[in-house]
Amino acid sequence: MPILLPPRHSWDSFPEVVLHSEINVVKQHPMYAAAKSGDSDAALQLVRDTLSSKALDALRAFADLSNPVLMPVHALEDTGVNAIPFALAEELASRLQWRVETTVVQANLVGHTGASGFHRLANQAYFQGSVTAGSNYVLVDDFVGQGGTLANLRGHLLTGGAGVVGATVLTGKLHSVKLALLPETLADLRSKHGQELEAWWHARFGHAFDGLTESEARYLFRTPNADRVRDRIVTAEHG
Amino acid sequence: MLTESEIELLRQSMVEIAARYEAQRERAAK
Repeated sequence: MPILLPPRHSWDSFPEVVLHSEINVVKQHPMYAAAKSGDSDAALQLVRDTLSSKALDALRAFADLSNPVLMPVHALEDTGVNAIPFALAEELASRLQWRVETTVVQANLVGHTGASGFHRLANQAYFQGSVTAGSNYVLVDDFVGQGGTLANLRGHLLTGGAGVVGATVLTGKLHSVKLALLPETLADLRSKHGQELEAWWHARFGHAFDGLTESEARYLFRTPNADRVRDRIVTAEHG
Repeated sequence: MLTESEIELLRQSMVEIAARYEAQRERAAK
């Protein structure tokens, strides 16, 4: 099977992901498992119970710059269609008077839930669907970990001629809200692992290190050497 | 990779949930 190469774009300035709630609050909510498995009513209840007014205020700032359209990560996962991102998008649309786009879906199964960082890097989300050129999108997902899924959805939208002004998730790791790769992190990564690994990465994933998220780059930087990176990616591809 | 029909079903599921939520909002507004 050919390896999919989701488009990535370098980051310029991209705002921090707007986070609504803590991980344990979301994952211990009685509706979480049903919502994650496709129950749209459970998803809406979960979202309404965990949405943050502070986060809503942060999102309103995007409307000062553009006329934002919400773009959820709508994906089939191991236990069914994850209903949370779309429920979050719909609830935000209702409260902010924004529109939700229903044209783009994740076109592959990635098995990210509970997976290792290398599994996530090796098995990336790939998106399909029409994009309205000139629109300004806000990405919506249930969780941000390394940020690769959001980066790939952004890449799909930018490739289609749209803009992406921000992202929001119900929950996630606090250190992952910075998607945009810092110049010093990129320099550290290049210094540690060298041009050969970056060339391999480009051939494998279709983008250079500058397309990585900050969390992805830091994860790779923490890996002892370039051979280990390659080995772990190849193993995770077949795992 | 999902098949084209699976992708279309996935897309359709989003449209159906949107309609369901809209109907709920209309009922709540009455």
